[in-house]
Amino acid sequence: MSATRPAAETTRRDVPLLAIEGLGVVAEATGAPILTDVSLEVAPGEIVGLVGESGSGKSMTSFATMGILPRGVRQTAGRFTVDGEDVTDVRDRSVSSRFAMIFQNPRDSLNPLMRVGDQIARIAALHQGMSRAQARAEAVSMLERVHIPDGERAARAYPHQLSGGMCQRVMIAMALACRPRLLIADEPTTALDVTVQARILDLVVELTEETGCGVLLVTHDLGVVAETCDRLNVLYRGDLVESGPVDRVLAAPRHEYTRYLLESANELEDTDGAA
Amino acid sequence: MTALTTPAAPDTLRTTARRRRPFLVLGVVVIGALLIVGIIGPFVVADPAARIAAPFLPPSAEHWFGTDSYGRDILARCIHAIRLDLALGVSVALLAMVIGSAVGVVSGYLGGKVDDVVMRLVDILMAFPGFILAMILLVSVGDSIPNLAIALAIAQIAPFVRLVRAKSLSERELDYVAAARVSGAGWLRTAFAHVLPNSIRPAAVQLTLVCGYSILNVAGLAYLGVGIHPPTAEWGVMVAEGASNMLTGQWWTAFFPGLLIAITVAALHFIGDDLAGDGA
Amino acid sequence: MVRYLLRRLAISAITVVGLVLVVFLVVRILPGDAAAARLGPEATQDDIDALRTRMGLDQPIWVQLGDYLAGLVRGDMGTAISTGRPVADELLSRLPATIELAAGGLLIALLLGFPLGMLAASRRGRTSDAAARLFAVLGSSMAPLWLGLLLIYGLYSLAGLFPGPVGRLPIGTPPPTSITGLFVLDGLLTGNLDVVWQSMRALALPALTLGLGASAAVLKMVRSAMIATEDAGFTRTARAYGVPASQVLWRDRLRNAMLQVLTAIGLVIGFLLGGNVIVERLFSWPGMGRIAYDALGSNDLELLQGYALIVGVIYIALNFVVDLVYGVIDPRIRLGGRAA
Repeated sequence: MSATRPAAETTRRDVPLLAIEGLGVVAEATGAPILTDVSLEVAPGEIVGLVGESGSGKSMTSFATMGILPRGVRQTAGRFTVDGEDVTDVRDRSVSSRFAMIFQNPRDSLNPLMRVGDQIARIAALHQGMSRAQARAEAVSMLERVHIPDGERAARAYPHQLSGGMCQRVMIAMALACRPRLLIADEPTTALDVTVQARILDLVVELTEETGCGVLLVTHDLGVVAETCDRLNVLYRGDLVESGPVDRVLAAPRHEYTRYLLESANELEDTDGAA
Repeated sequence: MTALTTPAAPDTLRTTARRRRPFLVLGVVVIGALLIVGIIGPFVVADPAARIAAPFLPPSAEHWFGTDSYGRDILARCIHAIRLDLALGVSVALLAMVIGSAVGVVSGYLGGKVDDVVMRLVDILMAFPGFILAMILLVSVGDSIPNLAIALAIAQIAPFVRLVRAKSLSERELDYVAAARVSGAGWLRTAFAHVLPNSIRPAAVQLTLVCGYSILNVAGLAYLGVGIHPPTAEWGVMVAEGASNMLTGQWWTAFFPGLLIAITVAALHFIGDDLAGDGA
Repeated sequence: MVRYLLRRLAISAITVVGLVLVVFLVVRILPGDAAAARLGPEATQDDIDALRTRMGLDQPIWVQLGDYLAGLVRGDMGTAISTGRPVADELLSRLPATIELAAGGLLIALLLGFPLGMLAASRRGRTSDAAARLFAVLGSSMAPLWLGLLLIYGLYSLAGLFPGPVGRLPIGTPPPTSITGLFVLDGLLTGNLDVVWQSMRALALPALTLGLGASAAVLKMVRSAMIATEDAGFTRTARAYGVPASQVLWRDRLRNAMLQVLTAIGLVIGFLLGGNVIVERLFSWPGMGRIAYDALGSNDLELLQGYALIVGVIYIALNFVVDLVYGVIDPRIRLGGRAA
């Protein structure tokens, strides 16, 4: 993969962009806890990893942060603060706090019946109060900003006409149209071809540096974390078992589960040959 | 708000609290009650053909459902009809399911040209509303109860073919099918012994629905003078016979047999909908 | 799009050809004897043979089929034995009445089924959802005949709100000048508002009888399609970015749900066409179904054959139109594969 990113200079942790404190989420039907006392912080310009196996509650954490928990799942504890201000009861964190999100399956995340340009434009209009024409121009320029060669042409395309990697670029363009302060990237490369994965990650890193937004990167892939993240949180069965700077956690994991994760990742790397 | 204590172990997530299924229970209870009454009832109540009272007596303590134009007891006739109606519904549905599933599994498992031809035939079969297909079949081959069952079954084959074929198409790609083939089973054996049992579930749901449609269609055909005829005690025939009394005020002659049809078909729908929703 | 259209058109054409063959075979080859059936049990063998010759039934089956197909191409569907008039005339002259009834039924089915289905989906698992689903089950559990009788008894005999089952207009009311053959439409076109009102009142109960049952099917389809879009990724995206709920509902979910509902709408059309024999008889509605009922009574197989054929062709044609609409709505079909 690409060159490792230099550790972020933003070590200022006194007022984090986003702080999640003691988040608890349960399944309504059974009362079974899905997340228990999850706390983490993201600073501006920082990429924070959230790793864990499938079913560990990674995605639920990101849904809860965006305020879009699926039906049948309820937040029972915890609060969210943005710039030190409590936004737990704010319904629309996307618009008010400028949160954006990209998902695992980019094509499924786009409306198949709408041109991608229109989908970006309506978000731009909503978040930046633009007129139709302005939003439309914004969509094209955002598409070009995520390195899609012919923005005009891409804006007119429907999702099914684009590859998976292109769809993820469209999703990132949509996120940029919010002028986001926080980007939640939920397994953004898992469903993509290996060759495309690295390019999407590079794009995320590049845009983080350009815009100074914070990123919460949800993944099961420790390799991705090592390449891109500043700090790392490990989630195991709904519980946050370890967090700290990436270098420290990967070099000297304190929790047994983190060690286990690392070992399995190393084994994979060995069998793959050079990664 | 305090934090919760234990994290979610995968197994506690899976053992969800037992789902309450009131509609399924209701459906099964209704069908069960009908079966019991249908088996025992005819020994208890009056002869369905006996003219035991004055014509057109409204419902009373003595004749719960009233009497019809010949002075026959409508409740007794309704009870005698249970066996015939349920037997017709079940046999039509089973017949359609057996034929449709067999064709469906072969079509889905073999794929290719066979599948193309079968699907065109199914399209043609589906180009008729089932009721009209049954109607002209019955008129061409002649009225009788077995012919009625066959005609109604033919009209209902197509959905079974589609359902089982669709499931077989995905099922045949799975490893256990390859394993069966490698171990030397022929295609016929693989299709019927391995693929079919795993593809039959959606057809089982359809079975309950078709059972209900058939009872409705028997009633509809009876009104058109095809299929079952008076003086047979059958719900549809009784509704048809009572139809003309509706305008002269003797509502009970058609009302009660029609109500039994509605209750029976609704019970079958409840069972089918529950099975369908239970994740096939 | 063009390829998709041609393919659907070809499939429809093949289905029509198959339909003709099946109808022909059902009527001519199955063990029944059209001539014997026509003449009834008292007929002598000589009478039957004579009629067989007159109907061409003594010819080899291939010759019969050839004659039949040649006739169809000329628009000749044979002669109705019971009336002596051409089958095509008998049926097509009644087509407008049947279309008016089916359209009324479809309108009621959509007006009831769509909002109830959307309501049920949006309130999934709650009381109103259970009530809507109960309505759907009951609606599809009532025999059309019985439902029609209940409506006649309740709304005509007891309440007197609607006219009795005497056809398209009250006895003595002259029909409007015929333009389309649909009384409501013709009344509007000729400015005859009294006829519009009268024919709508006469249409109400039979259309309700057909439409209630069909609305149950519409409700179920809309409900499950809307639920599917609720969990869809694009809905999640729109919600995540704070798109207003009403816009998510109408612009994202409903349009996508429509695609699913469209693919299943053929079922509803089949229900409306299949039920019309019963409803037309019950309400003395002078449509094709009424002719089919008379043909049943007089064992007129030629007429029944024609009826089955016309209904089948209408059904196939409507499904083709549904496919067309689908192709227009869905860019995946309209534009085909990758372009950018």
